[in-house]
Amino acid sequence: MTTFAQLTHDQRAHLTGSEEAGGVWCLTTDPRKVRALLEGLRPAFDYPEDLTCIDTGGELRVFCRLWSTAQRQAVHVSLTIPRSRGHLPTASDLWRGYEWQEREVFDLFGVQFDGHPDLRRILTWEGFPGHPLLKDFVVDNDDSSWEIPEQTDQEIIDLLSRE
Amino acid sequence: MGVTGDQIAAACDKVPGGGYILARLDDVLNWARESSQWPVTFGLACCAIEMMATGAAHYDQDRLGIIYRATPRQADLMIVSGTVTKKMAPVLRRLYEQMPEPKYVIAMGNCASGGGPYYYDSYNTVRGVDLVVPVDIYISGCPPRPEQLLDALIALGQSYKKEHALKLARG
Repeated sequence: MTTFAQLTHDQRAHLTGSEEAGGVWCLTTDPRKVRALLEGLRPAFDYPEDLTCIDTGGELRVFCRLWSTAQRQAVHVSLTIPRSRGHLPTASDLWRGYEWQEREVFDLFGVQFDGHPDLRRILTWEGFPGHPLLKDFVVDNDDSSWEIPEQTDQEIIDLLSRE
Repeated sequence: MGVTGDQIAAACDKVPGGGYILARLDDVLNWARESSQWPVTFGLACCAIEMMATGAAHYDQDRLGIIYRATPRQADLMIVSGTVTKKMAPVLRRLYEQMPEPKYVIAMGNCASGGGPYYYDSYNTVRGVDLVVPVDIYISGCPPRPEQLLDALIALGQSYKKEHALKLARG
């Protein structure tokens, strides 16, 4: 059984801040330390609940929530990165469930996850201009120039047979 | 012009020997088409829940001969129920193209009819499925009630009566 005091003591080298709020352990870190922190959390926190991002306007706040099924304890890990060309190490090799979550954050916010096995767009389509959940993304309300992309039979077969 | 099952039975009784009836082939074919509309479902969002409710016991679409098909190749019409995204549009078009003639499309709900609440400031919504496939009937509502879908299906069935089924079959 890990306690908050013990965890923050063990991981203090990888933290830039920590607090306990509403029973949840909230940890803040930075892009260089996050990988070591997540590796340290992996044995106890086996269930990856969420990984998402917030565009605050000045910077991107990437945020993940982990759950310990044995201890019934949630931990939040958050860090900030610059809005353009942000890089983070992947966590998808630690928690397989983060593979698609990271693809989503890449798709919608443009965050690059180094070491991700298959960092493609997941919600929008190949060739989509920009990253739509960034605050400075300009939505084109005019559909008059929009056309359905024509797919050949071979393209569809390739799409379906891809793992 | 339309005939119902009751009328046919009554007419047959009057004919000596009972077994024969004279009718225009168009009328008979259109009556058959009207009485067995098989939609391919295109449930995309919350409208699909209302579509399922229409098919379930309370509204019982089956009593009108409306039976959902899981393949476009056996379908007469497509019920597009929900928000069509630009990523889904090519799939929708492809399924529509696989349906045999004559074929019809019902745009169910505001999203399918014209983008609905996603008309403004949406990066991925098709503002009306009529940009992708030709639409025969639009249903308003967000989502429409099952009665509205039934009304649309019955109205579509009635509209067959104006068509020449034989010409349609020849293409």
